[in-house]
Amino acid sequence: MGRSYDEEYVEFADAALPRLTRTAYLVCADRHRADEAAQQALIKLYLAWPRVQRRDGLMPYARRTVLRSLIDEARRPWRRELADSDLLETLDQPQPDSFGRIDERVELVRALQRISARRRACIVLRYFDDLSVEETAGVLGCSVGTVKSQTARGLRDLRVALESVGVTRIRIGKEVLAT
Amino acid sequence: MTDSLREALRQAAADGVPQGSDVTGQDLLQRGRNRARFRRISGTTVGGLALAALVSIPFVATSSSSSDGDGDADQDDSPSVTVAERPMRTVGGNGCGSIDDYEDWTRPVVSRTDVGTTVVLLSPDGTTWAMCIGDDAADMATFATGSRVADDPGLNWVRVLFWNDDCVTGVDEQVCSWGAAGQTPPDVARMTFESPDGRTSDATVQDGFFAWQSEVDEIDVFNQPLWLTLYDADGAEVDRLNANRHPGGW
Repeated sequence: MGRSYDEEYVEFADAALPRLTRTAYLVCADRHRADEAAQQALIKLYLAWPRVQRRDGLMPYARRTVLRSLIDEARRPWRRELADSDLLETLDQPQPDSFGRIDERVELVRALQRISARRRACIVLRYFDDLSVEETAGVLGCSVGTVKSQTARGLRDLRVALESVGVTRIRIGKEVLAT
Repeated sequence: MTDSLREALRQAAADGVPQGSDVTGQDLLQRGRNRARFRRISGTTVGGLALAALVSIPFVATSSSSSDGDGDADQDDSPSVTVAERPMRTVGGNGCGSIDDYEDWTRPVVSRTDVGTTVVLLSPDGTTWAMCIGDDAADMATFATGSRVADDPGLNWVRVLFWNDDCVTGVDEQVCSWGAAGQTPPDVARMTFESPDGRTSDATVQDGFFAWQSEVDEIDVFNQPLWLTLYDADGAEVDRLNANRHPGGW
């Protein structure tokens, strides 16, 4: 006898939640919002489970829902203002710690917030979730060419943002940021 | 020693979100069941509430005498036309539902473009107008908004500017676009919108209303001016103003 609908869902949700939360965190730089976005995406997935399982694929649907909710939320003025002011204040005053690398990773997450939502989504899907160009296009619902161009522009923007705060040890593409 | 971007992202995500969330799949299952139960209970009333909200939406456009609310009115340099201070209230994501729900309403404007279809609806008593956008006029499920019809749109010019950046997350493979709809000021026969990315296109103007929608290359343009030029029947320019009063969304 096959497993029940609910059993399949619980197993998938347990496996997907940490990954989705981390994807969301890189997109929004806020742990609490990331938690909420990932959980809400999985709840929506429950409601749409038969259709999604049959037609869209579970993980692409969940990723798409997470990204959509974060970007919708970012469009609200109060949310946007808070994020921007926080970000600029921090980026203007980098305070390297003695370990350097942890500090650079914090700066990396902040730098991601300085690039446009679509480019950020491309970078996170391609370089964190390890999706192919085609898979990324499927999640974002755009062409392969768009993914390529947005990723290239995003990497360029990210490089500039990291250089501005003195991050030197992260390779972007084949380049090492200049010291 | 250097880290690849891939490795740096993995470590950064692990720093920000350590393993061991308190929430489990079982918790989410329970919340999903609760949500499904709530949907079943409330689903039958949603359609009726949406229509009621549409009909009772307050008048949100401002007169020229009160348009100094946010201090931007002077930038329009527009003596004859006032851009609404606030957009129309959204009735709901699925407020239009099937456009057949508005069977008794007339449709002064049905504007079809490559981006989609925009329909302006006018209530049977002529006091309220609404707008729906979607891929097809037969199923306008995307957006709904509305306002009371202004007696004198020259002084109380009602308009709504909307944009769709769902293209960012690829919802239903939508393209990036923005648009506007509303009442046409008196003596205006033609309206041309000029996007920051260089696209210029005419609105559909008919029976006292207009509708316009255009694709954009980058959503960055939503933060920039959208120049609207109005012409009379002889082709003479009546006015020119920035229609993007709410850069970046609301």
